[in-house]
Amino acid sequence: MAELPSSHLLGSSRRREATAVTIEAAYRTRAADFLRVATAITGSREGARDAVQEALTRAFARRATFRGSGTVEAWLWRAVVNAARNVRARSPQVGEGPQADDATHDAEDEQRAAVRAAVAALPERQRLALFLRYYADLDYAAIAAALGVRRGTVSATLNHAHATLRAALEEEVLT
Amino acid sequence: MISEKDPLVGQVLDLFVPELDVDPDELLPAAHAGAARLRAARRRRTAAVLAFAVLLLFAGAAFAAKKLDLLPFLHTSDRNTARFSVSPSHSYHGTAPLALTCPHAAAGAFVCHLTSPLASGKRRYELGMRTDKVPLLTRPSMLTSLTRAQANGADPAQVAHVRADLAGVSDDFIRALSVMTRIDTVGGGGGSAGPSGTERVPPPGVPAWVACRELTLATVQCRPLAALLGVPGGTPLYSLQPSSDWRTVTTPPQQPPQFERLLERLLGRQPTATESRFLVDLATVAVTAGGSSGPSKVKGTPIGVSNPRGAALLAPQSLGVPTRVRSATAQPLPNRPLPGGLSRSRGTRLYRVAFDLRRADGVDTVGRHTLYVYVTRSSKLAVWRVAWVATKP
Repeated sequence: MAELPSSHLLGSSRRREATAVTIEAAYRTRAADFLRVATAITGSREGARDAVQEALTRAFARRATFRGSGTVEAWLWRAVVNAARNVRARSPQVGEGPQADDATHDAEDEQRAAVRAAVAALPERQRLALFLRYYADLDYAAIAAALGVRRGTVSATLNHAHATLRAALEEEVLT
Repeated sequence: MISEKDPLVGQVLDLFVPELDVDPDELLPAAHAGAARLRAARRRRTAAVLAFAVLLLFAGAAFAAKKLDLLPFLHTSDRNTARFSVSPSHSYHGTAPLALTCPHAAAGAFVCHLTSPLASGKRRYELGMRTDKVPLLTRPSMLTSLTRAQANGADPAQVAHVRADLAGVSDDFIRALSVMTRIDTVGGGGGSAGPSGTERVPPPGVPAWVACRELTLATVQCRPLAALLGVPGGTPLYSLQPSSDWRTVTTPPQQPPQFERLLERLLGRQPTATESRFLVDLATVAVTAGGSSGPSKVKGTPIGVSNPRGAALLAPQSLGVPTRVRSATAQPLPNRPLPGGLSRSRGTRLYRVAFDLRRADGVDTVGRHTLYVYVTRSSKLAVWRVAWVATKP
């Protein structure tokens, strides 16, 4: 990639608005996390690519609607989560986690299948909160902004998710 | 407070979706293209709604609206020249990379990538200049400018003369003048000269000049500049650099902007004697040295003109014989020290001025001639003046 003039970077750090530059900077910083969370939500790499691209497209096209009350990154997270949920809703087979790449069935595959089943059994909000907390390392405020819920709700949701997941998997995964 | 992560849950989720190796650039081009389509669709919808509202409300004003159609005046047959109008109410504050690669350069909007000024290859554009910011010309703003000019040392008698003429021109005339000052022309650029009577032009459909704006950290969005309306002030303009697929064509005849005809169209009548005199007042620059056969240093009067092209149009007057200016075309500054000790800055511009000499001056013959005119902006007086005139760029 061409070397960037420093004015680009200075500009993006000064402005409290969603310009194409700030959106792209936020995306570049978090691209792997966006894709990983979107993969978890949609259940496939392909669906995740569609979702992140759709989120970016809408962010670039509608950047004027960014109100500056949060960060551009939080705004992007919300767009990615919503786009991924839409992709999952359009695609009937996804939602149970990414499938194994090959057809071999060994112990690891069985373990993954158990994990997929356990995560898929969680209520949607718990799943989303877990993905954002563990894959993106977001704090409660950022998760709350991405999911459109209150911060206290995030705390309770994650506690429930931890307990449910641990109970479901303790025997199957740890032993 | 944020609770610690549960190691078991973390382990489980790592199995669910392992860490991914991602190329951030993979999705960006498609996202930008999609966003451009979304915005274009919104603009079309908005335009349709506005057009419908205008039809409903102002059906009776169709003739008046037609008078303001600038497009016929912005078209040129010269592929290396672009005539456009500048918006007085919009400004561009983004960055202007020095060089761009535009593999998809064509009619309509397209995305270009930042590149090194030293790079080569097809569809490479180089920064030529930025559009001038055009002030909204109104009677109060002109009076303010005159007052400021006098405070800065302009001849009080001359200022009083201009002020008196300003009082005698109609509001319609000032509005027409405001529209006319928004029209600008650029040409030359990427080495378009060919053998005598010919010039090199880009392949069909590839614009020689484009206006661009920042899109992302590494991309800009560009549009062909020719006949573009409402270009924001400060917009960077780029000229296409020659490549192997350029063609040699016969140089088309020069097409002056026909400002007189535009003024008449905008006014819907001939300008009055006072209005014509006022135009001359505005363009008054005293020139102390003349001659078109060699470089000459020129001094401007305290009252210059508000835009650089207007100042360049005054240069043929330095010949001291009757002339008729045909066109003034902005040129990129040459890559060598500027003549006359001029400094390379945003306040220095170069124009190619074509004019007809109506009477031989002892050196040059009657007919079409070209001058290369450097104009500079006086920060003290806030006006543009002719600074250097030469027969070669």
